[in-house]
Amino acid sequence: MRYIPNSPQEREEMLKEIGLSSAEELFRTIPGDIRLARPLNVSEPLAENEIIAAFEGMAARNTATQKPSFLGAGVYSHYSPTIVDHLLQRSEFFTSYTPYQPEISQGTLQYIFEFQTLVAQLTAMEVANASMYDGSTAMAESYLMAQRVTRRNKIVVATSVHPEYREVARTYTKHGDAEIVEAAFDEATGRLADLSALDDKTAALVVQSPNFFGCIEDLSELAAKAHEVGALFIVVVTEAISLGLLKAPGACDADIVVGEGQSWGIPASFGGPHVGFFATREKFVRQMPGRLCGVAYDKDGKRGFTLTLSTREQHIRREKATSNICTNQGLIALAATIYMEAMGKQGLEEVAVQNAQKAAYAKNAIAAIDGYSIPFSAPTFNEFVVRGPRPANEILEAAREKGIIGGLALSKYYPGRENEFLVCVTETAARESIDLLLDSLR
Amino acid sequence: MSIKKVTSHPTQNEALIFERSQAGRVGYRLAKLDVEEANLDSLIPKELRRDDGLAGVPEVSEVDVVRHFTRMSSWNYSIDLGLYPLGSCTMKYNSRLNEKVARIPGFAGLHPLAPEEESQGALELIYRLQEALAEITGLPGVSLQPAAGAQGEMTGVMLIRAFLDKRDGEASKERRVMLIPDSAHGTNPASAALAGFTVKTIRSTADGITDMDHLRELCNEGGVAGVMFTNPNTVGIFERNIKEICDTVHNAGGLVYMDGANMNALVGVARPGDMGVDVIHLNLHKTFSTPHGGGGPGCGPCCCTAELAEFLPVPRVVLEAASPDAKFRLDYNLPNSIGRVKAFFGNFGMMVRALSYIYTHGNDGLKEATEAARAQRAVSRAQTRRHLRQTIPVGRYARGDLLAQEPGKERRRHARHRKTPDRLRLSSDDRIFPARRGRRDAYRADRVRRPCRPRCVRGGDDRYRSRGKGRPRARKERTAFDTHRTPR
Repeated sequence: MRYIPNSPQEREEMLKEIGLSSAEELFRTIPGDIRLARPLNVSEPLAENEIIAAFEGMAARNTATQKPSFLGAGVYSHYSPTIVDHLLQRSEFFTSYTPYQPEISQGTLQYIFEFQTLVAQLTAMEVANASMYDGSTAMAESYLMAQRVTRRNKIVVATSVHPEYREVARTYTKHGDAEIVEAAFDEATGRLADLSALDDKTAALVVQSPNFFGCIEDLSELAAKAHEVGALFIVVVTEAISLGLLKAPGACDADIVVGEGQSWGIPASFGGPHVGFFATREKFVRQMPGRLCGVAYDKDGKRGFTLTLSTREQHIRREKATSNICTNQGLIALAATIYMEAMGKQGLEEVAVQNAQKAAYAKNAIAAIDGYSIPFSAPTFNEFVVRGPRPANEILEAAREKGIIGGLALSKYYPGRENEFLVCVTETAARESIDLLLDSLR
Repeated sequence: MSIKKVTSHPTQNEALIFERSQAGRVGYRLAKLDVEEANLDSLIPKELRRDDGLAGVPEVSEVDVVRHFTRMSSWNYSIDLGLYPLGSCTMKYNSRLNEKVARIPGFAGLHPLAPEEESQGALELIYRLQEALAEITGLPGVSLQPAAGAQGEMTGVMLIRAFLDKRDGEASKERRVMLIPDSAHGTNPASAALAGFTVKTIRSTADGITDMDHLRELCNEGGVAGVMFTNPNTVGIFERNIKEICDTVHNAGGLVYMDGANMNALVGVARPGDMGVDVIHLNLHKTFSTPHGGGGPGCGPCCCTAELAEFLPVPRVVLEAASPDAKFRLDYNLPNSIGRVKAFFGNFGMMVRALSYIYTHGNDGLKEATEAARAQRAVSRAQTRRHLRQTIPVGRYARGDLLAQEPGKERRRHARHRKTPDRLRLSSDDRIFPARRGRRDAYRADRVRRPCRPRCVRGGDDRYRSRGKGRPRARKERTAFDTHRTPR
């Protein structure tokens, strides 16, 4: 077997050295009645070219990848510079272990530190952690953290937060004492409107911006409302590219900013692996979940990096830890770091502006088609809801027949909104594809 | 073993990217905007836009970025440089074939919300991996949704909770104790706490296995929801009383959760399902060779008995039975499910890699890998045991990782390295973030104090720590951790 470093002969010698006559004897500590007496019923061993052929065959059945697509809703198509995938494939990065031993992990620790710093800069927060599994689990953890910080248990969350994120948060909180109240959005603007649930028992107000419908929320105003009752203000970001253009949540007085970093150069990959980020105020750092990397100096004053504040974490605090997270999304955080650094100050802004411009072009053109309208009036970034003249599923099905994936029918998550669908236009959508979409709607 | 570097880069002292930044440098180019440009103010009002000009975000060229990361990478030790003798988190060779197939555009470019009929290949891959893992563990209900081992654990204990709540109704309130051995990984109790359980610790015997008397005693105290144990356990010993453990807990009305961190020792040889285990999680980055990547991404499939399958997370990938052209489908209709644990379907890219690993090995190869690992471990254990001249009681520290180091010595060394980290991030007024303060070099202790002598960023262990100008350095044998050495 080509991945096993030693030959059968070598293994025989090894067995001899420890006084065994057969490999079976290695397992003598396992009682006979629970040993597997037959070969596993999995595939025969395959050669490299056979595996490539089999996998390419499966991949070819993912026909969606062969069509222009206007899907967003938490996973976005963005250009990723070549160096991102190239650099993260350096053995020293992708085959290294969790950086528990700083003396042999300075490379990993330094990029984590840079990742944290970039996240903190883009969100305008004071501290950020080394990553979470994804945006949805980051949001779930933010609920738990808000409960710890405020010692209250009510979470008010906008229904315009990504529905799958809310489902995950429900799973995470259902065995605690959290009371989750969903707050409705305004039918005219698409923004969070109903804040009647906010009271002095509220641990946090949770809002996504741009929200699931693409509408940009007025964060400063919501922050003030949350702080009035002593609740934390949690902002969820599913489209990280928007941070290059929109007012940073930290600048709007957010207490916790969580989100999904997939937009920072990470492939869609059917929903994962992506990278969640988690940022907050320094005064809450001890209630924060996940790993943190910090600067340290040795006795000669030389700088280095190390994991820090681990007393929050499960390997020390066990059942009293702030979270059970251990392995996070290290390598994807590296990809995001390379992306942000390669794009830099100018690139992050330019790509955000391009998204806004292209989406605006599509939005205005669709609104001009007979029978189509834009139901929500709030400003949008690169995603917007379209109301069509007939059920969205039919409209999208017709578009698909013309070789285009026109967006996401809202009825998947919001029953009753049958005629509406969500369209996402990023910088990767060529004008021809946008025009193709327009044609398919006409 | 020593690893010599062929060349060193001019400075081992790679600055933070923020310190390399120079105004006006760019490392990207986007295609020109191909639509009519609208006035930005008319799209997004000024008060909703950033006004800080992305202060602090670096400006660097492409080659700056490439050098930056290439240099940093040289400070890492990794599986491609040599053995990583870790215990609780086994490191396997990360095949390049796996990387290649995960990057096939039909997988990498697939949006998770694409229509099911246009994602059949991805659903098929998930289904096939589910089937393979069900066969390997002997547990037929599989969800690949958990993003890593700890989340797989959380999913597993939540299944137990859901099962008990359904079986016992109100009475399940009295059943909230999760038994966990003292040697367990910290994620076990942390995950149990998330599912609303309190933790009681089971003692180990002198030879490193679960103390059966203590287990019985705890079961007799009542309220036991289940047990979470690792097999082989965290000190590397197979719990030979496994059936008895399962029976004891089952008789007390609880369920058995097994942490699959050490499944490497069992694949193809024994199956948790045949031992009486109800639910297990696997780590694709431990047992099925997906890369650790410096701390993730992982993928922590949760496998359970048919009895528990109705509680698995939504959606599940199923094969439309009896249809002539087999069609894979996402099943959302699971009223008793614990719910979603992650958006979409899990870390799909890791599933592609793991299935590629399973296909490469095939049925014989998987078992052969287990035998090879056991043989290596047994030999190194014998060798290390000789080396330590039996100074450590056998059994207590039987596993390679604990044996390979003399604990006292190791701890002392670490203690010297732990300095209080004083900053978690760079902020505008941070003393190690000089770029925005105009005193670029003022605080770069590593460079400025001795400008003519490139130095290590950090000292490594004592052998490589500079003792000041002119002091001779101890140059003992080099080790694999030699990458910090200052070039002479």
